Amino acid sequence: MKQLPVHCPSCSTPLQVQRLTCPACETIVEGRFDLDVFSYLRPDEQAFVLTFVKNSGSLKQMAAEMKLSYPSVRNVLDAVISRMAEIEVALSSDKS
Amino acid sequence: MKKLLLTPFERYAGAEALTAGVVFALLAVLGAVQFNTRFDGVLDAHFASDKVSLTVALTDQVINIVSAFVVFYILAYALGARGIRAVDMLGTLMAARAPYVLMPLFNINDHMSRHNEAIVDGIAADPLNPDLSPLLPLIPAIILSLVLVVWLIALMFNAWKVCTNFSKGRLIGGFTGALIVAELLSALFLSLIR
Repeated sequence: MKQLPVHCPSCSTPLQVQRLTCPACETIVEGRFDLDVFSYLRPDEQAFVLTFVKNSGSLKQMAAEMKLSYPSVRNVLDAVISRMAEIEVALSSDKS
Repeated sequence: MKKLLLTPFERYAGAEALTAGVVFALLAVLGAVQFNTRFDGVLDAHFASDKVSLTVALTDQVINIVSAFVVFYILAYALGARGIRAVDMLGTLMAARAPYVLMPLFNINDHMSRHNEAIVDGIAADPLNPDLSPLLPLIPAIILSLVLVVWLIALMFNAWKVCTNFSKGRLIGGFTGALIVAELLSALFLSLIR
């Protein structure tokens, strides 16, 4: 699957979605839609968040599934949390 | 294999590390009693010519482990770490002592202590021109024991890094400080008990 580009390759401003297409009937919706914070995470960070939700937020279960120790999983979670905070700050500063 | 030897705590911590740590501590006590080795400080290992009792060997282990745990745990929180489970810090620090299980093996048949005494006797007999020939058989053991010390420090560093999630200054400076304080504290306690 192609990775969704989230920043302008020319000026690095966060991109907006302008056009959405229904693959079944080919209806096209046009407008300006913001991407959410989750979209700006790297694929491995998105996969981590998905696994986290699927495991009901249990770091113990995550550790068993990811074959990592409990503190290692907590460290990855802390890194994702601080990345999301950085993204939120960057998005709000771009809007203002 | 390299990960298991140098950065095992990215994979194993908590109860698993604690169980392994208890086994390593008991093996180190057995080795210390069998081959007359004193672990008289978090990083120290000395080969005694006198018999090392079970009580002394157990006391050494307990004080080393408690000193390291208390200092590392308190310093981690003092430097701003949050949410560290005590079982992770204790378990990883105990498991990090695995290399020292091998240390007493250097003193099989009092190999180290006998040659040490011969060197000391040689210096006492002729301080200006001592007979250093007993040093030669010790060299391989000295080199290997240094490797074990470096390995122990590398494992303790990995325990600190994984448990605290520190980086840069707090990772390196905090670990160095914690190691020095733990070493001094354990040596002080053991000297007070003696």
